[in-house]
Amino acid sequence: MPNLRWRIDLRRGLPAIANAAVIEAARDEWREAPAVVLAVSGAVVIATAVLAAGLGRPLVGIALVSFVVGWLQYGSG
Amino acid sequence: MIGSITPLVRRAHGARRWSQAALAYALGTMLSSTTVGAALGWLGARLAVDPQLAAVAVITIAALLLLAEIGVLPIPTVIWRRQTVKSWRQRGGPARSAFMWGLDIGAGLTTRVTYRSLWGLLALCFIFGSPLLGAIIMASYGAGRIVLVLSGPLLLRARELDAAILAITLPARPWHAVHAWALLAVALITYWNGALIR
Repeated sequence: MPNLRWRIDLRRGLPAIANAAVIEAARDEWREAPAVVLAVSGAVVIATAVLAAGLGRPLVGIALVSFVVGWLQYGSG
Repeated sequence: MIGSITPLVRRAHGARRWSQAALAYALGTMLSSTTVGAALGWLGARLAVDPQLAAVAVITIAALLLLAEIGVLPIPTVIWRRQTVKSWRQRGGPARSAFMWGLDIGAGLTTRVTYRSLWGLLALCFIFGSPLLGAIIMASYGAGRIVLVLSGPLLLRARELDAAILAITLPARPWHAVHAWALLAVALITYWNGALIR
């Protein structure tokens, strides 16, 4: 015989699963966003670095690339 | 480290102590990263590799690392499992432990680094054999690591830091892509200006 709590959980089971699915979907959508924004920012700095090197400033270019490699080391350390 | 200094120091001791810890972290990072870069350049200078050959070697290494980063070439790369020691905080307080964390992480060689692009930079430092170039490259890398930690309060303001860090670190594709771009840039810049950057 299930206790009261178990029965309540059982009744809430279906809506809870539906809610979890909605929250999970929203989280997935949100999850990609900041990483993509940061990665695109990094790619822009790298493009600037290549441009600087192409214009005869190779040290500036290498320094900018090195900066991005350090800056976007999420998950390291 | 972004997940350590900000939640541990800022929440426990406030913004002022966080600033001190962040400054100490920055000093430690710049000290070790610049030293490692200069030391690698100095070691490379002992080899006295011909500039043309050095450029070919750097481009080859960058290309191989790039292919590995995007998953095309399954070459093994050294990835340390060690992470910096969180318990240092208990021994020396926020600023001292942040300085130690900076020394550890800025060196690049003693803690876990997820992306292969760092190896491209280290190869560049070593093969071109210039202590000054090595110091500039690794100081720039260290500056990037500092900016990463300084962004902690900004993320904290946006939402819970743990959730924000999770949101940033979980998706792997954007990160591997941007580090692959970095390796491509290293190869291109070396190809165009190999002699100049020496």
